Amino acid sequence: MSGIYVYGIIGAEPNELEGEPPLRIIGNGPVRVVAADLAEPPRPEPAALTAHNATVHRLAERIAALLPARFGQWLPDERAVVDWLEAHHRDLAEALDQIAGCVQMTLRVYGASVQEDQAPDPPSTGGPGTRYLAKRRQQFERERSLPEIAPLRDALRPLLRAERIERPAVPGRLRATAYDLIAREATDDYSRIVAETAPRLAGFRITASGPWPPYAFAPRPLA
Amino acid sequence: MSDPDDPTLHVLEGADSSLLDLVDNLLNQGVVLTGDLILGLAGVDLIYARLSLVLCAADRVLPKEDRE
Repeated sequence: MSGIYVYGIIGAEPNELEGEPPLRIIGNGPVRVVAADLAEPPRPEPAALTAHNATVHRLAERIAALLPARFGQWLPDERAVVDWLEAHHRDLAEALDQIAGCVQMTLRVYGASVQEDQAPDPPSTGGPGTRYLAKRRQQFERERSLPEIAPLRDALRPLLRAERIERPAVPGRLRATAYDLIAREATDDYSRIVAETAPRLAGFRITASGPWPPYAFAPRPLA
Repeated sequence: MSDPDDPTLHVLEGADSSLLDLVDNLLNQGVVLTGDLILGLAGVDLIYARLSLVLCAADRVLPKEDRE
């Protein structure tokens, strides 16, 4: 039984990859797949997860532009991989351009209680429709920004090539996660800014981790 | 790992330093070619069941000091 297990998407370089597991490059041109032969889909077990993580990290260290694949991306044969590449070529090429030379830092914001985080309602001017739309706009903007730690976000902004903000569906201690795309060489500056600024943000605990392969900047949905 | 109640910043070092990030990255993000092929095909319950298995098992993989 044949099978292809995908570790990520690369551009036109490199043309050869060494190491374990034996890796192959599928496709031609500026968007290609890095994969290994694997007879059947991996089971979601610790060894498989850590092996996937280690391989992606090893690749990301050596390749300037690598879009990492989520765990478990297995296709039955090379034809299926090529078809998938052709179907998503444009999105993948744009994403590769964006993440070239970059890494992901993950910033998590924890707070004491959800109630403290409730923003006041917008001014109640206009009719009920206007007020409703104002409220909706406030909610929309809040979901895509981090006003509670604005000083830190402002300080980091010169380093950010891109950002994604996510808030948990069920509010709790974790208020939000920011996935920040920065240049590889900016990692130390990022950590320094977080270390200097985060302790001054009363009421919040900030954790930063990375550098990671840019998992959060894979185009979606592609499936 | 540092004290979770410590109000100061924790900049985590190394690729495997955070179980949360490991699970977040590998199971929730990244390029997707085949949707839910691994995490179950028969419906929500199966997906959740398998995710639970992964979470429980991955917790045993990391060094003890990395667990919060």
